Amino acid sequence: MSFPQPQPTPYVVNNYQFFDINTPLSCPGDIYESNQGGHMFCVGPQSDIANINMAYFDDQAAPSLLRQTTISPTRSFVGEIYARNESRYAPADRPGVILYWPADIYDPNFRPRGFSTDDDSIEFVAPQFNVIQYFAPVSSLVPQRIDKEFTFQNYIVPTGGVLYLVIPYYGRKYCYINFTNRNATSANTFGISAVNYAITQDDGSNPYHQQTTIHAPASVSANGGTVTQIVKAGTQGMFDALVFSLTQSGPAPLRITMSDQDAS
Amino acid sequence: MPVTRAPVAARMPAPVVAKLPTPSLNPSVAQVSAPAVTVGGSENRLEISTYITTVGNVAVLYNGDRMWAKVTLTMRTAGPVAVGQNNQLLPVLSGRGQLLQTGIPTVFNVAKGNRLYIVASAVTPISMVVEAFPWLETITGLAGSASGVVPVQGHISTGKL
Repeated sequence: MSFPQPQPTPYVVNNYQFFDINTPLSCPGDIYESNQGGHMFCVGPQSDIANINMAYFDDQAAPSLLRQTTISPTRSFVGEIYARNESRYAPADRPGVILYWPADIYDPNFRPRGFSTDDDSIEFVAPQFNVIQYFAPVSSLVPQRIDKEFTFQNYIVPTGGVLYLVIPYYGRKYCYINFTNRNATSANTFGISAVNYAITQDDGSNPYHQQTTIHAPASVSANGGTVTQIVKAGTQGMFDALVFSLTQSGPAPLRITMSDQDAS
Repeated sequence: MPVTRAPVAARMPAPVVAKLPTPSLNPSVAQVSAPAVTVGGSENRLEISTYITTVGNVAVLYNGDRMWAKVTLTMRTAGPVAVGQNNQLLPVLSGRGQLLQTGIPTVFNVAKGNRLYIVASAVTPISMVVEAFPWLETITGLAGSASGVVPVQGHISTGKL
């Protein structure tokens, strides 16, 4: 989370009609707040998080006075929600602001099965958390996320080990992956798997994360060897993240394009 | 030759309506100036502004001590914001005031001697237009002058000032 988080009130004073929280997550416990009410709430275009929880002050929601709902790329919230700054949640005794946090799980301590702490390394693309709150009614609301593209070319791979790249994939229904080994002399062992995170003890012997192999690690020949893979929700399923494994520093362009549309 | 004087009554000026009423010792009666019978140029002035609320404090949005006025308020964001003639507006959603609606102008014709109070749960910009009614003030003043009746803060004072 970027700190301090952006505040909506300057946008209100400066006559913006929306508040756009757009920040990378640092941990599953990130919570954001707005001390301004809104008329419409939707997932932002750049969000990697698909399901976003919202909470607001409700006198009838005893005993906490906190009412909760969820928005996603397929379901926005249209309706006026006040920020009740002069009221207090119970028993926290905190102002009745609107709260946002990811409903999807993100675990930066995840390690793939077989991960060697001595030889391997892992890199995460932190999920982007993007939610838009409109201060006034607008004529239309488009909650759909953009088709996101990730492009990599060179990698820092530990000698004799494996580099794992973890890319957020929450709620996506289609993905096109294209890997090409442009190293002139060395082969690169490339693999793709997917993970659904679980609430688990990561330093235990048997973490509960669920991993699915999409493309088993296999050698990709030097000087132009290519792997192309399409992941469809209707075929392989839906996942929280995609995990790519490589054994050579490249150059090896890896292009990942994902969409909310199931192009079947 | 003895100097003749006019009768005492003849030397007395005609009764006029004073600008300021006789101060009352009754604390429950508001002290408001009597209506003017002429219109000053400055009283026709239009006031256009943006009022930005604070949270949880009752504030005077418009003070109608001198002039009748049409006050138009438009809330630009979600609020909630309540407006009323009574300063006991809290809590905001208590119904003691009227809640403004986003983007919808709300008009109040504020009689002289009244105030508009405002309270909000969030910092909220309010577009505000104050259009004075100097002719209404003049009509009131002329009517009072002609009849010797001076309306003061909702009370009718029948005594000559």
